[in-house]
Amino acid sequence: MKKQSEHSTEKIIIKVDEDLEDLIPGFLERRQQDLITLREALKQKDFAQIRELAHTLKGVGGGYGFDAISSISEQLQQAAEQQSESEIEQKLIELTDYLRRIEVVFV
Amino acid sequence: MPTTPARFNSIRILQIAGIAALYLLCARLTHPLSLPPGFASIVNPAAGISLCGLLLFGRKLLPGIFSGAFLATGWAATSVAPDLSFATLLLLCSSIAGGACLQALFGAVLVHKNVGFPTPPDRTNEIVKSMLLGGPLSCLMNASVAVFCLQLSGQLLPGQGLLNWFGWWLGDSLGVLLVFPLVAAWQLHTAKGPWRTRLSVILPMGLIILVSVLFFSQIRATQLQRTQLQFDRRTDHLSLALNQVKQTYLDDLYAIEGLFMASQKVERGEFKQFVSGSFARHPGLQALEWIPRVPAAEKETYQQQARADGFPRFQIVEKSTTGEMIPVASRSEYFPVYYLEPYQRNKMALGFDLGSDQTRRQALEMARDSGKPVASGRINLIQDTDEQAGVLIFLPIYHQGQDIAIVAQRRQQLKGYALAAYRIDAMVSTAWANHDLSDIDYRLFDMSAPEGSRLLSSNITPSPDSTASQIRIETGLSAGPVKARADFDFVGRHWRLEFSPTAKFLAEIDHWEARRLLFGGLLIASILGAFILIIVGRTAMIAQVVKERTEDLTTANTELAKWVDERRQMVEALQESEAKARAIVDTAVDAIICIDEHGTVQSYNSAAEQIFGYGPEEIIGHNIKRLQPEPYHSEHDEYLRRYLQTGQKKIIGKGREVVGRHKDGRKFPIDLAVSEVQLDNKRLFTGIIRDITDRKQTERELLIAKEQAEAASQAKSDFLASMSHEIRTPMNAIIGMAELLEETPLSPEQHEYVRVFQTAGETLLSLINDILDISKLEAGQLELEKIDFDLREVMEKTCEILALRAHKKGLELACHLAPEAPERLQGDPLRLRQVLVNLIGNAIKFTEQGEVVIEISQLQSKNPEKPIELQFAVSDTGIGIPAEKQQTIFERFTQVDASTTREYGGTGLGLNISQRIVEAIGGEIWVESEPGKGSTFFFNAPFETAQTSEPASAPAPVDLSGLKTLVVDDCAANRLVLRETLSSWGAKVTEADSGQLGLELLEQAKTEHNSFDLVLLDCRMPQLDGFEVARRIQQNSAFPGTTLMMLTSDNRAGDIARAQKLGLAAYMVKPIKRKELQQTISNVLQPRQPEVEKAAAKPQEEGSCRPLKILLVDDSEDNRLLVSSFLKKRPYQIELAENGEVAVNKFQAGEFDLVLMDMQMPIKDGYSASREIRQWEEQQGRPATPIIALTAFAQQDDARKSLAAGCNMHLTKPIKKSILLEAIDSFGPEPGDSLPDK
Repeated sequence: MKKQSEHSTEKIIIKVDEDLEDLIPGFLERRQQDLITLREALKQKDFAQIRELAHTLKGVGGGYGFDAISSISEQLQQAAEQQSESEIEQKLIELTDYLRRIEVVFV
Repeated sequence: MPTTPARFNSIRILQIAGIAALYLLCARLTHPLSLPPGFASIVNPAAGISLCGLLLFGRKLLPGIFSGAFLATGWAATSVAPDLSFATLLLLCSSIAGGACLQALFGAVLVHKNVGFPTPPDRTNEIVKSMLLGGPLSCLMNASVAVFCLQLSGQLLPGQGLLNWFGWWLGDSLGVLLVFPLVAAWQLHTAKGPWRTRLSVILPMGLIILVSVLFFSQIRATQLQRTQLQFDRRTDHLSLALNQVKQTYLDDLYAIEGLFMASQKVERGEFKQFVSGSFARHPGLQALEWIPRVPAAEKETYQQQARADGFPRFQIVEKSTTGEMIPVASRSEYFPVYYLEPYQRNKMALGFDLGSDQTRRQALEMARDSGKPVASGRINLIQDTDEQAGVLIFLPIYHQGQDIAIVAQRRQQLKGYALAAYRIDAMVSTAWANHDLSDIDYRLFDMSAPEGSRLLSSNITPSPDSTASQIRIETGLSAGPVKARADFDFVGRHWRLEFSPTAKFLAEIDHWEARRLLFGGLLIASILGAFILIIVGRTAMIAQVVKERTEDLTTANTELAKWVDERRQMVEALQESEAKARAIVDTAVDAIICIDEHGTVQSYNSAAEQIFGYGPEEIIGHNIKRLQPEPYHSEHDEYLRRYLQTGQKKIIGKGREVVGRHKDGRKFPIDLAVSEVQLDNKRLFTGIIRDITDRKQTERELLIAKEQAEAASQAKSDFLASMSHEIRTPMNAIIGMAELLEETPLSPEQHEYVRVFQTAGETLLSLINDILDISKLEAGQLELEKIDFDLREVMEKTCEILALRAHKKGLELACHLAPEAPERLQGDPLRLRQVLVNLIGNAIKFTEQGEVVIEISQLQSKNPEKPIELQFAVSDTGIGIPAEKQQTIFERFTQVDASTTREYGGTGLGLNISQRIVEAIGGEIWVESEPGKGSTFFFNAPFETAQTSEPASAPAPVDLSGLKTLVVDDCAANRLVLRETLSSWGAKVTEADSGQLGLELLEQAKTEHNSFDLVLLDCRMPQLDGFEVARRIQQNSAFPGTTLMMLTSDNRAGDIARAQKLGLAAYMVKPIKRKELQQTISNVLQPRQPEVEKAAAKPQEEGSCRPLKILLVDDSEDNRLLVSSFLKKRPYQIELAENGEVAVNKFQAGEFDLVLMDMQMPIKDGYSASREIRQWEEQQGRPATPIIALTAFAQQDDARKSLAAGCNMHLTKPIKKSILLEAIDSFGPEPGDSLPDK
C-alpha cells in the first residue's frame, strides 16, 4: 500500500550507529555486488538464485539500519517466487535507486 | 499372712485357745531345762510356735500368744518364786508375755517384709534368711524384755542377768529354728503328696530331736546320779555325826544312873559336881536333872529338904491352864525336877512335876516300863527365855539289886529318872561343827511325833512370809530332784534327816554339759530340718518344673505333629501354585524373560520363543545379549554392571522402547519393561517384552496425521487471522465513513440512508466478529486474558453503550452491582463484556416494554484459586422463552423459532458464543423464563482478586487542543477517520502510512524539538507492525513524554498483555467509538505515565566484564560482521559459522558459553542445528548452553518453533544492538557460578 517515489533525487538519510562505521563501506560494496549478481541472474532467468539472494538481502538490511533494503528484498523475493520478471525488474530498479540515494550519518 | 474373713470367729477363738495351750505346753515341757532362776530354758519352742503361728494365721493369734506366755510365766513364777506379791507377779507375767508377743510379731513382720511366707521352698537364701530373721534376730527382743523385767522384780541374783539373757535368747532362737522348718515342711506343697513331704522333714528332725533329747536325758540322769552320789556321801557323813552325838548324850545319863545306883543317897551338891563336867563336853546339853519318884506322902519332906538345900521357895509345881506355875494338884506320886543343873539357865524348871505334863508323862511311863532311856517329842524348852526346840531323854533308875525283868517289877522298883534336856539346834550344830553346811539344806524330823510338830531342826531360812515358808518347810517341797534322807532311832524315837542341795551345791555341778549337748543336738536338728526342707523343696520344685516341662514338651510335640501336617499341605499347595504360575508365564502373550545378576537367562517363555525365534534351549543359560543387536549387545553387560554398582535405576521399574534381534538377524522395535526382584541374596530381573513393530507403524501414521491436522489447524488460524484483518478493514471504512457522514449536514432522507447502512455495517461487523469468534472457540484458540480491571467501569461502559438502544425502544436499563461484591477483579474484561453485551442486547431486542435489569451478586466460591464467584443476572420483561426451547437456544444458529430471525434479526450465534465463553471462564450459564412474562439469563463466573488497585475515578475529559498526535496506520481510511476525529477535538494530527515512516517522523520531530505528544499505532501493518514500532520507540529513549496508544482491528490473544509490556498506555479495538477514543485519550494523558518512563535505560555497551566464548552462526557475511561489531566492545571471543553443519561441528569441538543462531540457513538450518546441539549435550551429559535464535520471522509461532528446537530465546531481525546486548546479559551468571575457564 505504501508507495515510494521512484525517481526522486532526494537524499535518504540513514542514521547508523557509529560503531558500525567501519563496516558500512564494505556493506555497501557488497550490496552493489549483489545488484550485479541479481541482474545477471535476471538475464539468466535464474529465479532460484534471485530468490535466495533476495532472501538474504531481506535478512541483512534491517540489521544495519537499511530497512528499505529489507522491504524491497522481500518484495523481490516474492517476485522471484512468482517468477515475475517485470516485478523483479521493478524491484531491482528500486533497490538501485535506494542505494544511490542513501546517505549515511553516524550517530 | 493369709487373710481369713471375720466371720470365722469361732475358728479364730479356737485357734487362739489352741496356740495358748500349745505355748503353755511347750513352756512346761521345757521348764526342767530352764536356767536358774527358772524362767528361761535353753530351748523354747514356744517362741517358734508363736512366730509360726503368726506367720500362718495372722495377727489375730496374738491374744493366744499373750495368754499362753502369761500363763507359762505365771506357772514358772509360782514354782520358782512363790513369794512374789500378786501385783508384781501380774506385772511380770504381762511384761514377759508382752515381750513374747512383740518378739513374735517382730519376727513375723521381718519375715514377711524381707522374704515372704510361705517361703519358696527351693530358695536356700530365702529359707535361711527367714530362719535367721525370725529366730536369732527377733529373739533378742524377748530376751531383753524378760531379763529386764526379772531384774526389776528382783528375781535375778547378781551374775544371773547376763546368763539369763544369753540363755533366753538362745532358747528362743533355737525354738524358732526348730519349729520353723517343721512348719515350713508342713506348708510345702509338692507333687509327692503333702504327707510324704512333711514326713521327709519331720521324721529326720524328729529323729534327731528325739536322739538329742534322749541323750540329754541320759546325760542328765547320769549327772543327776552323780550329783546324788556326791550328795549322799555328804549327807551320810552328816547322819553319822549326828548319830554319834546322840550316843554321847546318852552316856551322860548313864553316868547319872551310875551315880544314883552307887550311892544310897545323892546329895544335891554331889549331883552338881558330878554333872558339871558334862556341860563343857556337850554344848547342846541344856540341863541335867534328877527326877525322884515322890510318893504323895513324901511330898512335904522333899519340899522341906529342897528348901533347906538353898531353895527357900521350892515347891512342886505344875503348869496351869493359863501357863503359870501353881502348886501341884494332889496326885499319888509326883516326879518333880529335884536336882537341876545348871540352875541359872534352867531355874524355871525346878520343882516342875514332869508327871503333870502329858508328853513328859508318856515318856516317863515308857521309860519306866521299858527300862530303857526314852526321848520325848519336840518340846519347847522352858529353861530359857527364848523358846527353842529341845528334846528330853529320860533314863529310868531303879532300886539297886532288884529284879527288873518285867514291867511290873520295873514299876515297883522305880527310883526316879535321870533327865537330860538337849537343845536340838545346838545338838545338831555341835554334831556338824566340822562339816560345811553352806550348800546343803537339812531338816530334822521327829517322825514319832504327831503331824504338825515334827520339825525339830532346819537350816532353811524362813522367808518374810513365815507362814508360807513354814508350810513349805513342813510339807517338804523340795527344790530339785536331788535329795537325801536318813532315818535313825533316837532313843526310841524315829528321827529323820532330810537333805537337799542348795543352789550353791547345784551350781557347782556342771549342768552345762547336758545342756550343751541338747542345744547342739537341737541346733543340728533344726539345721538338718532346714536343709532337708530346702532339698525337699528344691526337689519338689524340680519335680514340678519337670512335670511342667514334660507337659510343655508333650504339647509341643502335638503341635509339631500338627505343624508337620500343615507343612505337608502347604508344600502341596505350593507345588500347585507353582505349576499354575509357570503355566501363566508360559501361556502369556508377552515374552517374559528372567535373567540373573550376570545377565544369564533363567527363564524364557513360549511367547519369547515366538518373538525372538530362538528356542529355550538356545537361550536359557546363555547371556541375554544374544537377543540384542548393537549397540545394546555390547553395552548390556556394562549397563548391568553399572546398575549393580550404583543402584541408579535407568530402566528398572520403567519401560523403554529398544531394539531386539530376531534369530534370523533382523532388528525390530520392542517395548521392554524390566522389574527387579530380590530373593534372599539373589537378584533376578524380569523383562516383559512386546513386539511393537505394528505399534510403531501406527505411531508413525498417527504422527503424520497429527502433523497434517496441525498444519490444517495452522492454515485455518492463518486464514482466520488474515480474514479477520482483511474483512474488518473495509468494515472499519464503512462504519467510520458512516459516522463521519452523519456528522456532515444531511437531509433527513440522507440521514435515514446513512443510518441504514451504518446499522447494516454494524450488524455485518458483529456477524463477522461472531463467526470469527465461533471459529476461534471451536479451534480452541480462545485465550483468556488475565488482567486487572474494574468491574464497575466495565458495567457502566457496557450499559452506557447499550442504554442508547434501550432508550430508543422506551425501555429502562438498570444495572445493580451488589455492594459487597468486590470491584477490582482479575480476568478477561473483554470477554465478560462480550457476554454481557450479548445478553443485554438480546434482552433489549426481545422486550417491547418494561425494563432490562442487570444484577451482579457474589456467591460462595468453590475454587480456592479463584476466590471471587460472581453471579450475573440479566432479566427482562420481554416475550419470554417457552420451556422446551430453553436448552436449544444455546445451540448455534438456533433461535426460539425461525420467525424470530426474520422478526428480530440476529445470527443465532450470540448465545452459543456466550455459553462457550462462560464455560471457558469456568462458569455456568442458564435461563429461567416464562413466556409472556419475561426471561432472566444467569451466568456465574469465577475471578481472582486484582493485583493492583487503581483509583477508578475517571478523569474529566481533557481538552485536546494543541495535542500533537501521530497516527500510524497503513489503511488510509482508518487514518482519515482518526484524523478527522482527533482534529475535531483540536488535536494536531500527522499521518504515517507505515511503521518505518512513523519512526522517521518521530525522529524528525524530535530533531526539530517538536516531539509528538501522542502516537496512535495500528497494530497490523506490513513490515513493521505496531508492536514492533512500539518496541523500537520504547528502546529508543529519545522519545520520552510520548504517549503511545495501540489501535487494532483484531483482538488477538495475549495482545493486551504484550501491549502493556511494551509501554503502551492504552489498547483499543476497532471500531473505536468516538467517545471511547476521547475517554481513553483523556485517561492516558493524565499525568501518570509510568509505562513510558519504564523505557529501559540504554544497556551498557560494556556490560558485565564477563568474557564469553560465543558461537555466531549466520549464512550472511554481512550479518556476521554486523553482530560481531555489536559485540566488539565487550570482552567476548567470537567464533563464526556459516551454516548449521559447521555450527554443530564447531560447537562440539569447542566450549562455548553462548550461541547466536540464525534460523534460516542453507545446508542445515538453525532449527536442526539447535536440535542436534541439544541432543549432543544430553548425550554428553553437559548442561545446556544458551542459544539465542535470530530470525526474520516475528510471529509467535516462529518463536515457538525456535524454542521447540531448543533455543532459549528468540530475537527478530533486524536486531538492535541494545537488544542483543541485553539478551546476552540476561544469561548472566548465577550466584556461585565460576567464570568459565578457557
